[in-house]
Amino acid sequence: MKRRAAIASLVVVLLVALIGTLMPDMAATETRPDQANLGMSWAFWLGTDRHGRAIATRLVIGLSNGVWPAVGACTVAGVLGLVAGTARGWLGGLTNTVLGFLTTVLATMPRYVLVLVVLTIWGDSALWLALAAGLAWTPSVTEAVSARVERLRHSETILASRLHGVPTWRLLLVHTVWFGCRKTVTRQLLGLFSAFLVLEASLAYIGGLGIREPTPSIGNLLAMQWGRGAWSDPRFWVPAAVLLFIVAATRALAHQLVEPADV
Amino acid sequence: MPRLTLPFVFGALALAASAIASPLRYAEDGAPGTINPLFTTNMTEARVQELLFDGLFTDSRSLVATPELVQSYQIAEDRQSMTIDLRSGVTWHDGQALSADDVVFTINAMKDPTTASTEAARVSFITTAEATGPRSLRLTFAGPELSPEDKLSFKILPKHRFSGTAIQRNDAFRTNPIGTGPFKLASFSADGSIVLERNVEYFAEVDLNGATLREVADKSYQAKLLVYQSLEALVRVVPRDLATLEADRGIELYPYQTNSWWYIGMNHQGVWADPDMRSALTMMINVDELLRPIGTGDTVTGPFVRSSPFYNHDVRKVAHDPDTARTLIATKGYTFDGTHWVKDGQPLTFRLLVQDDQEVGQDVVIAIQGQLQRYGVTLEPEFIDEAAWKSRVWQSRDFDLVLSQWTFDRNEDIHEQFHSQGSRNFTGYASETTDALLDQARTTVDPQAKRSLLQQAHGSISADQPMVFLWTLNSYAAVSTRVQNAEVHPFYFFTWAQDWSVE
Amino acid sequence: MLAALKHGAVAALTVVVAVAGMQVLLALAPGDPIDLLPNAEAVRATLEAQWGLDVPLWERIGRTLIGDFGQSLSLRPGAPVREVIAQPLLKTASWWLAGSALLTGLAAVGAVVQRRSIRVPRAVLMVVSIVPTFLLAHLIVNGANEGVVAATDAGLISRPSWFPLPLDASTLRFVVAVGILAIGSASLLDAYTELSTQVHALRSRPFAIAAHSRGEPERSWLWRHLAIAVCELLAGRAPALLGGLVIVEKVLLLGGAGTVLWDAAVGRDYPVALALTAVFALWVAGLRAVLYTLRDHWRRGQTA
Repeated sequence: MKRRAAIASLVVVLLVALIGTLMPDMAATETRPDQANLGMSWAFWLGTDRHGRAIATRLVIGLSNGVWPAVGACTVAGVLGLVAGTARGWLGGLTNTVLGFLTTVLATMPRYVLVLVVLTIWGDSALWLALAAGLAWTPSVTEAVSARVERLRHSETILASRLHGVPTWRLLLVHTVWFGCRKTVTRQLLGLFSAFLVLEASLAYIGGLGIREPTPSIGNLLAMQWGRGAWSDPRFWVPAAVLLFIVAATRALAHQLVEPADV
Repeated sequence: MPRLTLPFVFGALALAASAIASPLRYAEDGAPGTINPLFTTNMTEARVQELLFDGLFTDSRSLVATPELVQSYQIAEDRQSMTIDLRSGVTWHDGQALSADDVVFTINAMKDPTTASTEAARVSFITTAEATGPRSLRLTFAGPELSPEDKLSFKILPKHRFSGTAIQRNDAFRTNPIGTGPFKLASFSADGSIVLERNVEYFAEVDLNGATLREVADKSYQAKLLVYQSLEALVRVVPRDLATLEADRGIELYPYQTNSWWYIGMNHQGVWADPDMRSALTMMINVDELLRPIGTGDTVTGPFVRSSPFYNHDVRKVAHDPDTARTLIATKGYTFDGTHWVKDGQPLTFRLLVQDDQEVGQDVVIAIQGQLQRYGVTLEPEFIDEAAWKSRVWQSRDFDLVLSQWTFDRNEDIHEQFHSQGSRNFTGYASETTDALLDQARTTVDPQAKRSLLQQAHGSISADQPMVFLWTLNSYAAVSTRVQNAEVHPFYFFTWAQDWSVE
Repeated sequence: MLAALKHGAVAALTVVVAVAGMQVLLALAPGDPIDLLPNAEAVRATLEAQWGLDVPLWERIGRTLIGDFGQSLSLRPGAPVREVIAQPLLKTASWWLAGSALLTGLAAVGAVVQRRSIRVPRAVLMVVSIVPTFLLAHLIVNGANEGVVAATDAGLISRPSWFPLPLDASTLRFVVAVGILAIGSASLLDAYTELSTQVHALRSRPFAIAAHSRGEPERSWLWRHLAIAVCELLAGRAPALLGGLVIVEKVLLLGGAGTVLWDAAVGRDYPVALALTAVFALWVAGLRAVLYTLRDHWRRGQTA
């Protein structure tokens, strides 16, 4: 039940993000100086900001602006982590040592620090944020995949399949990676997905880094209300609630995907 | 009865003395990197230096250059040199007397290429500086100077604290400076806070009992600290906090205008080489509507602030006229598809660069984007840091539009910005008429002629519309009502701080 | 001894490669701090020589590795980097240590103690834990400050010495910072999940069941075995806690190494940014070496 609820929640998030993607960009940047700082109404569900831009529209488009780079970060970490982790776990020996060392080096750097350095050097855009976050989270995916693949490589199922003449590529890609690691990888990437949205919000909130105004994002929506009416203003707490909802849903789903051997 | 009254009176006096003795606490976004005036890079540093150091001249309350360290001076008839006698009885914070050698040393240090002073340009008009006595000196200029006093407000350094004019940025003076100013450094903590104490040896009366700078990066939190009575002054209030501070009875807002104006610059290498397109953009922008969400100010029609003697009040503002703008765009081969202007399948789109440290730049960009969007023009804003700005705007001219502001000293020399050969003319604007007027204005020593020439230049530039001239923004300082006699300088803020007091 | 040497060698090599990698990354960066100066072009040659920017990359890497970080370029121009980062690093170390201790303490107690009385607070803490660090800090700071304003206006209390948060150093500010660091952004929830899984696994091991049947108290073996899991937890979470401190320090105006790193990165003060990342790498790698040595030692003890 919990799992279904979590999946349904994330599907809703993705659908809203999709709607946001399909909406014209102009909808988020349309200013109405004579309708600035309006409260909630049928015309503007969550009111308007000081430029008369509709908060609800900006939230939907902002969600898509955060979700798709998050998916991009997951792709980077997923591909790199899966390739490196599988190589380490399956090949072992020198490959494991070298890739393991590189993973350790990358993991030594605090993720926020790595992302901050990359963004300030190369420019803060959603693309760089996604790349930096993907790179920063690669070590944890690599470690998880490597541990799982190594365990599976020595498992009786794989050994028996080998004896039955199952080709190595099939053993590796189907039995080990697909059947053996999909939950592990999904769990890791769900963590990165929510962490990315929190990261984006944190950077926008604190230092105006990451996705910048006038492009909407959850972080920008929060940052715009900094220090003003935080307790009662839906313009502050609705984006915050959306962020918390996504974090809670991804964590709940990730928790459902824990396999005994992962711990 | 006297037994009761006397201690009461003494107690009250002691209490009053302790109340008057409070230092001023103010916030800055970042701690100063250095307090050496040779290497000033931002206003935070300049403001601290204003408290610690003196210049030969300073601004009076009416913003006219008035002697500070100078006792008397005489400008030669050909206006190519001047002699100066320094005020007597001025001492450095370490007790040594100020001498003409200190002034000569400061000028030479600023000019020394090994020092690489960020302030070198301020003394480029001086060719030689020589001491002619313990407290007298002579300055020779590169050309005739109409009003050299205006340029002699740079801070004077103590020669005896340096081994030569080749000074490195890491010189110990950077965090342990001494000046002749009304306050002296008590501490410069690693956490960025700076404590200044009253200089009791100062040549004039100092009412304010010291100042404390606190590094508070968040502007909204700065405003809250003032409301919470944890600070006495905010140097600059962001527009969104104005209403909150205005409503607080314990806070007084001090409006002031800087000698600066905002503009939307157009890159003349591209589509903006066409004057019709420049006119179309100017007519699409509703300047009053842009100004409303960011504060109050005066809209301008050309490259001077309205209070400037060079401002040409006969130049009329370009009316907000989107219909004419549409017609102009249509004549250039663009067709309107219902949402965008399109030519050769490409929508009319411009990249607007803005420096990311502009406090209100973001709000202006949002409003400009909204306005242009209404008329079918797409704006793609990019917020970039100073280094990227220098590279993309100044060097490679990789932009369509820029949103920025120019800030000037009292001389309001716009030659570099609008002359076709000007070092700051990154938009590529070129007009023979404007060039001739600016050249003449620069060389004339007749104030009336200069005024007339620059007013004509204003008209010429406005007619060419090389940029959309926006406004001079009212800045607000917020000061607690506990501070008496607070009067702020529009640029250096603390120029008259010795007359303030905190109760 | 051999294990300690091995872990030490790996840590040293890790730091070398991390520093070299970061140095290459910075060398590839477009623009430099001289671009930020008003008269950049006029002083470029002089400053490049003064600031050591004209030195070959390999030499810069070598200098960094021997601890010669040079001088700050824009944050505190001309100041030795060591001087700029020393005090902030000490502060950050204290918050990190306290945060780590609180995190492991809360997670371990939550995982081990089964009493009904702690179930509700534990659940509340876990729910609070998913709130992102910056949001948690904002809510606590604003809640505390506005609460004091309301209470003082109503004449209920006089102005507390710590008011307003987080301007001045105070015990409360320290507690808030450490608490947010240990709890926020699911830090506590993750740590609790990790340790409770370990506790569950330990309790179902044969020796534990045997000890239970003998009537031996759980504390006689559980905490000893849990120490290994705590070592792994700390080793794993060390970088995350350091990264979290960057956020906590910025929001709470703490002025530690995280704030300095942020300001240095934004201001292109590469020597300071590089020095701090090098120290962070050394910090994490060194800590891991120590913790893994301890873990291996205890594991060997248990197997023996």
